[in-house]
Amino acid sequence: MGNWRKRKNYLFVGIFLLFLFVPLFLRGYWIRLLTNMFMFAVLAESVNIIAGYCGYLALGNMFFFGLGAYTVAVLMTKFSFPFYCSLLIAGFGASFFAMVVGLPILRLKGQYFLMATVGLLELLREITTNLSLTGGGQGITLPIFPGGASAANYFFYYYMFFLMILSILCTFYISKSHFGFAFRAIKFDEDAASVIGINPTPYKTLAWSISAFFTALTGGGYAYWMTYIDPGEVYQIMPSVKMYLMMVLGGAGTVLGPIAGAFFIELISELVWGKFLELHLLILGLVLVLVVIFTPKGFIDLIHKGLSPSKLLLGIKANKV
Amino acid sequence: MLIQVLVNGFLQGGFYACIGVSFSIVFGIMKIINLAQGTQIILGAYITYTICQFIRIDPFLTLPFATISLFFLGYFIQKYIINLVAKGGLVITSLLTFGLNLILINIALLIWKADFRGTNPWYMGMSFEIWGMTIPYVRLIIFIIAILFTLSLDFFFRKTETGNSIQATALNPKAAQLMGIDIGKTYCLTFAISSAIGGAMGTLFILAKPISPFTGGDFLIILFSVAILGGLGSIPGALIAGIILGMVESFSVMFFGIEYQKIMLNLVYLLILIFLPKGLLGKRFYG
Repeated sequence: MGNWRKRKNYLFVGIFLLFLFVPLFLRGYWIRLLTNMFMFAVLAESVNIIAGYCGYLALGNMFFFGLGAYTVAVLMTKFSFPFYCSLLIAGFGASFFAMVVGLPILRLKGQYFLMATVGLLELLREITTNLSLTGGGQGITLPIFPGGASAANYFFYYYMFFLMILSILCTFYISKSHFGFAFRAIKFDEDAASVIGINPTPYKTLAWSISAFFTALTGGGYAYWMTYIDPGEVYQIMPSVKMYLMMVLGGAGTVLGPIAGAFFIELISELVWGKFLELHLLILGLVLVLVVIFTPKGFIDLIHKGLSPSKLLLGIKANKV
Repeated sequence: MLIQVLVNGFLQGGFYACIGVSFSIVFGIMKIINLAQGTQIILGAYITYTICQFIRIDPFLTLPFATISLFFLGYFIQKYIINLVAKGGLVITSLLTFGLNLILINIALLIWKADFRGTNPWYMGMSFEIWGMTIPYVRLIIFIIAILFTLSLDFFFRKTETGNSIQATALNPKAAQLMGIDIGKTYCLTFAISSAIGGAMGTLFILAKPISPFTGGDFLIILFSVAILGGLGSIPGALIAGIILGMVESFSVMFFGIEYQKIMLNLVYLLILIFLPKGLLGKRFYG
């Protein structure tokens, strides 16, 4: 077991170094593909903090992405802030927003919380569409990254990559610290958690604001990367659902599961986009349906149990009516 | 002017109540958030559209076709897909219904393309006047049919044996099973009824507005708000809630303009969730 642990560490270092140096050998398309994968990995990881650990299903979590994207866009174009400065404001602003909104909304449980976050997503989209500050429905164009397209590719590759590493480290720290235990206790049974002395409100709020922080940073980076955003694009429910799919596929409440899920789903999406443009919703839908039917607890659980068909069917029986 | 806005909201509210009920029964009875319900409504509308294209009959006459075909679609979806994961919890069922939503949207895209489609019967723009209010015939008929559907569903749940067995399953699935109720079948029936009402409402919707495969997403907030404001699974509650929402919509158009209509609806929805999560007539079952 100890041997495997050591080997696992080597494996991680190897993968880290691989991704660190791989842009030297790749061309634009692959770099952009990897950047996209990292981006979804951060999103899945941040959804994992609130939904996987804390059990609060923020299906509309994508609104933090939109908030981050729009904060960066507005600050850079209308107030000519530098990128990093507006990024920081976006991240902490979204965290603060999560705390403020979380106070009333995190009191809701289960389905109600889920539906409230979807409502917030729609509300923010409509508000953004109607504000003149945000450019309304026409969207907003950001300044182009100085230094040309290939420099931009490298910059955003490393931006998303280090954001992903940061989110992994943060989740790892959470899973080992007393926060993680509190989060899991809340997920398991909130009333019981408060009986043993865990006050759920600050922990839930903390989990959501960490999640908001990473999601908003991703959104801010995305806005500068794409140089054009509009409300219909950044406030979508679809990427939110994709994030959940990645989390469930990789294993909710694990550190690296959502990352693996994100890589897998993004690769599939990319293949599907290229080959079957007209069918890509259908295929994504089928993947969703098949994943929740056959691996409701994720790949890791499946591998632990062994991959025999009889066990797969047994897994189905557990949730069947 | 004021009374006209009131009437508009009232007529729109009947439709909202009925689509809300179709969502609310699945939510209340199976604890499943059916994110595909909007697209099921759209499928009903497309059935009407297709029939009207081939044989030029009155769109209202296609109502039974849309209802029955969506009934069977819903039954099969529940039997062969959703029942497999119905006990899997919130993430699993929500992801599943969203996946189904994507599949249905893509099928609609393949068959009917992304253009907006509508029916245009000859009585489309006609209206009558009473006490200074203008009431379009189509709106009034839509309202009446929607209310009839809602009331007959209420009757079905309260007075028939099947309806009672569905309610028993909602109350306590295990106890219902001990009483000899087949839960799988009950779930299928519930979902099928929900889809059927959705299909019927689709027929009514395409009479009022043109649709595209993505229109279904616009219903989401209305479905949520009616279900929550009315109280889970409560049909009279949903009726009141639908009419309140219709009023909110038409008054926000009057006071703030059409671009704030959705903002107001969303805001009201969130306030309802925060301050009134049990709804107007929602009762907690103590089974």
